[in-house]
Amino acid sequence: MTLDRLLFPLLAVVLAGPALLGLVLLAGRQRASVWQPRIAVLHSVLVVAATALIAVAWARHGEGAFEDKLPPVLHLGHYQWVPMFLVDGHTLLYMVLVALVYPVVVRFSLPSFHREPGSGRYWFLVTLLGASLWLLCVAGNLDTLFVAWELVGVSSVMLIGFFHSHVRAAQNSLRALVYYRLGDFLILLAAVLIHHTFPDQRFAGFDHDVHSPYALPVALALLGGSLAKSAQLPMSPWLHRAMEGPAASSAIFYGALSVHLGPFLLLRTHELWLPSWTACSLMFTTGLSTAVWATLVGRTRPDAKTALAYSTMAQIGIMYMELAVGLHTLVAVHLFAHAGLRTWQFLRSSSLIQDFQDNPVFAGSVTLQRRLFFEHVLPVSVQRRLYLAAVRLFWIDALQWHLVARPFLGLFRLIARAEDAILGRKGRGGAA
Amino acid sequence: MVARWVEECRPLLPIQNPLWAFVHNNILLHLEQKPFLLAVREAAALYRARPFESEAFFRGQLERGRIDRRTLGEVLLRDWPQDAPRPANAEAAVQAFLAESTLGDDVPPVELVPGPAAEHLVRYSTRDRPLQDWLVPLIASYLDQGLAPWPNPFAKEGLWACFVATVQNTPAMGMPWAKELKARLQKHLAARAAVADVVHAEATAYGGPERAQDYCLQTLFVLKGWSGMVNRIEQEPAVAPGDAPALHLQEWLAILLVSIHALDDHLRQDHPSHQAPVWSHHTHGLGRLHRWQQAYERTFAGGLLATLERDLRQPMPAVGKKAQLLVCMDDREESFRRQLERPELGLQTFGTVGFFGIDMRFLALGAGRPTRQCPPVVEPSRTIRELPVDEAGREWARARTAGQWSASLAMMLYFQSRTLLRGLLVSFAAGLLAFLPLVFKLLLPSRVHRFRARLQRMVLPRPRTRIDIDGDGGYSPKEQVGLVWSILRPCGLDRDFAPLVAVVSHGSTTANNPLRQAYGCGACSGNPGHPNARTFALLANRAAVRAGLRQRGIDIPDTTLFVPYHHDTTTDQVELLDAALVPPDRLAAAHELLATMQGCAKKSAVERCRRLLPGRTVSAAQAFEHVQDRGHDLAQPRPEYGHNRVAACIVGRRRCTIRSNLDRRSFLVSYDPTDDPDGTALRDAVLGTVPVAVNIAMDYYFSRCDNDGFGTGSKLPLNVASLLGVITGSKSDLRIGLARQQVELHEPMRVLVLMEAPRARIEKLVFGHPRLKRMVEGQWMHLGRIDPDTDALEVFVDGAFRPWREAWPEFGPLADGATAAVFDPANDHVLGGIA
Repeated sequence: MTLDRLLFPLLAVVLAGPALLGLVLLAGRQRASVWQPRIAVLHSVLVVAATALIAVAWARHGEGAFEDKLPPVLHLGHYQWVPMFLVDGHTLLYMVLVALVYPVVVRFSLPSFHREPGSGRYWFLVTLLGASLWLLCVAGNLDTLFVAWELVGVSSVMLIGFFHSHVRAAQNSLRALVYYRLGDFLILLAAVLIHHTFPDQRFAGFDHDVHSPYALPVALALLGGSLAKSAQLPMSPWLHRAMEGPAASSAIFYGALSVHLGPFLLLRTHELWLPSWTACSLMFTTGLSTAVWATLVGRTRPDAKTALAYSTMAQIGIMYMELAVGLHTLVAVHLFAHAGLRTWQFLRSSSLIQDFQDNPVFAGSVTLQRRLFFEHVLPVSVQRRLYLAAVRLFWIDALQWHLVARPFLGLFRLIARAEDAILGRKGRGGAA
Repeated sequence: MVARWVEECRPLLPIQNPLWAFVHNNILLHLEQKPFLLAVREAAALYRARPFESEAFFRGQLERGRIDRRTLGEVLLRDWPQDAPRPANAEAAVQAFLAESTLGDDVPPVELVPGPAAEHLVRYSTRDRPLQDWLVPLIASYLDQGLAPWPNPFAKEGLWACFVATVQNTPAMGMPWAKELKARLQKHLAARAAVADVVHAEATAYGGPERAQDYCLQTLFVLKGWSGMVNRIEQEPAVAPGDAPALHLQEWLAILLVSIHALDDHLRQDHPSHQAPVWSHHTHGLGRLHRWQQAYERTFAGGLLATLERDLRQPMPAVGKKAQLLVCMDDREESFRRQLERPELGLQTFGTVGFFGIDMRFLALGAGRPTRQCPPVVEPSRTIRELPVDEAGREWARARTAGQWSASLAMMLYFQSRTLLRGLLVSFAAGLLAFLPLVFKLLLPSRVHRFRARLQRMVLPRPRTRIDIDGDGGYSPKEQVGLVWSILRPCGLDRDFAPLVAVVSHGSTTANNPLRQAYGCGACSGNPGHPNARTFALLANRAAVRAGLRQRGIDIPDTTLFVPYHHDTTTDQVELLDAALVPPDRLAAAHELLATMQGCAKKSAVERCRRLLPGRTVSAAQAFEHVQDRGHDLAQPRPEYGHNRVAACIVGRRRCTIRSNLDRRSFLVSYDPTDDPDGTALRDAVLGTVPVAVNIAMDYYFSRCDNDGFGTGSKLPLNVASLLGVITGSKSDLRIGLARQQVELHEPMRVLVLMEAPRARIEKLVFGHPRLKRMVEGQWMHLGRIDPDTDALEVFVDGAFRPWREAWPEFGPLADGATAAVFDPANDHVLGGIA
């Protein structure tokens, strides 16, 4: 079988899983059925099989990237939405990662979601994640990638708010949504720019497009768009809030597959930004500042999951730095290994009490282990201020609220009031 | 003044230990001096939780027959509300009760002290989130026992100092209500107020001078889990896993008051008045729910008593004397014991407390700290060490080095993988390797475990160990005799010894489980009981001890050998302990008994699988494989069902229960009433067991009734915090109680204690002991008895024992071969109703 005959059938099979589970939900089946987890298991096995087939076919294909496309889905004036597909080394890298982590998490979820209210929603969302990641791996242009990127974001947000009875979970998923939307806006901007200015809109054509005068704006928009998914500064404060969801979804999203999408997108588009000194230095600075900030904050976290969130963020900061200096093989290995480590740590995060309790050295030298860090060279008063600031995330949350969100809300309120005045309504949003 | 308020509040706070020292407790232990109904009413307002199951639940139970309609009628008629017209008969009472949804609401709801704290206690609202965002990081990082690599620099100076520094270090833009908080704190600091003055000023501002103490209590309950933990660690610093920081509940109270009031300033700058009365809506309708609850419990009691009454008339099966087994009283061992006592096996079992009277802390070989091996109601008298038999041997030297290395490696991986540059190295070094356990441990949990265990036995065999019972601080020869006597005498294992007596401890293997201690042996404070079984067998085999016992009237023949075994209640694996101490000529017999026990445990696993795998029929081998996987599966939130559905505690000879299938619903304590005129043996048998049974039943009761208020909620979003407990998601109150998956099959009931003893002996014991008296009179448990001579069953109603059929005339006889509704798995009700 060759890639051109395999890719579309496999893609259809992979996308069928969440479609089926979504239909079941739409049909109004509120009660959990034994079939939902079974479909999810089958889906994860199919993802593994599809990945294996693609890998074999690509190895036999032999000569670098493979490309294909579907007929345009949408015509609007001279705009055409053409789904394009690309299989290359980066595709395989992320696809194998998906094929390793996704089935493991599905297996993990089987007993834990047994009898959990709303498990039908979980099975739909997790298969949606698996399928959209697979689509994201094979996307050949930004338009196609954007669809998958959005779907990953949707399932992420819905799973943060999985527990409908927790007010905090709903509020935090809204926060994540806001950051995601800001990032998505930039990616959409990049897509629009690409359409209007680039001669070749495929990822594979970016090495020609780099000479376009708009290469830098597109590169910057992509960089900015990738920050939210990977929780890099200044788009970081949602990640620790995302720990409201079940452990299984925290592991797959924020330990592994969703949070590493930033570096993946940048790897995918590296032809575009790598020659630009501006883009690279921005990327490096972002990575460095996130790494330092997240390390400091993470070091003060007294709970299992948010501590992991911050250390993940810090390692991804390093990945941004590695990307900026062009160490792309290193990034690939780092990404892969790091995703494995964090998935394992997230899934085991409930073991910590047991682990420490059973560890004979904990009683003795844990304080010693804890003090092996650089803050100790600082004067005590500085150390303390730094500690207090780190516990409060250096107030980044509130600063963003005061400096960004509140002005926006004020503006909206002004507009709403003006609208009311024009329409002659009394009070904000009151009935006419 | 303030100090007194704080002292008055202390006992009412949640009493849960840090999770690694978790013990089952009646969570309202300190309200036990009040009658049950009044105590739960008070607690409901503070815990914002419903202290009974819901009306809908009870109606469902009535429909499926799990609440007997006539019983409900009788319960209603006994205590018919005064203002309602009295119905003609029981059925009319039931109909009126079902038709009128407020009938029986004769317990007034609780009025809270109006003020911002009360608003927090009435409903979760927009004010909880900012408060938690502000206070949870503060208290969690202050109490942290070692999770965060960067320790809190204020740990020596106190919580209040940490709070003041945090507020002062926060920029005005750092928090939406920073301005109000800074202003409120500054007012106190400018007045140079001591912490007590801060509490006084803040509490009287809302509570007034009269109700200030109540207001303080309400304030502490706004974050009840953290308040309880502060109190617990302050009171008993040794219970903290690491170094306990300096703690004063008063400081935490001051922080809560200042923060809650500052937040209130921010939220309602426009209307500052808090005069309207605030009713706790969790305390509405309690009178009605209590009537339902009584009917629910009485139906169970009726079903149990009818079953016992019928079965006591059956011929007594032959009890063999091939071997005797001394087993924990635990309800989970009931099915195991039933299997062991099948007539063809010729075995006899006795139930006793699973710590076998050995009130020790135990320092296992290579462990960093001792574990507590006795019930929470007993204070350990000494620390006993486990030592290698061959202290200079190579095996021990290697094992010790390997143990130290692997422990350090685990610690290093934990801390270093979370740092920046070293984290980078760890990702490269361990990241790809992590896929191996990730895939295999999840797909083949118990096989990977067995593989690892086999590998370890080959490469690093565990050295043979002995328990250092005579060393410094060990038990004196006289105490050794006393220990063995205190177990054998009350349970009636004081004559007719079989050649082999198995001492069977139990424990539970679970993976990835922050609540592990809640699954272990309750009598060993949640730890596995094998050190106790080993110690007990060691003592009972000593010639000196036997000589001492002979003087006190227990004659153990020289041919009798005590052998320790261990039963894992999750994986149903049985182990022979200290095999090296068994004389070679008896080893075959010990192994034969092991094989028999393992076979019975597998049969018991089949019975467990009826609930673990509803609707599936499994063979013994499949069931065994399945429960093994459950114990080692990282993903499994229900490794076993623990004490789910436990509702009774029967103290008496096994002959009372051996003919009945109690469906793992009863603690079974062996007590021989035949030769105990002064009741000392009864006393010994009851005091070590009944309070434990009540504690376990009440712990399950509350977590089951309102799993969000009294319990931990679902296990899925739990997040280990400060190494002390769990929170839900990223920030929340420290959770208390048991998780939903742990109690989902439980039937929330007060425990019914049946004693096989003469009436006078029971009355003398119960009413001569303050806590038992309190528990019986306050209806924290129900009491009944089995007459040792006539097998007549009586219940303790209205202050006196009465024949049960006379007290509860509505129950008919149970047909031969029929199963009472309370033991029928078809009547299982899963919490939330998801099957």
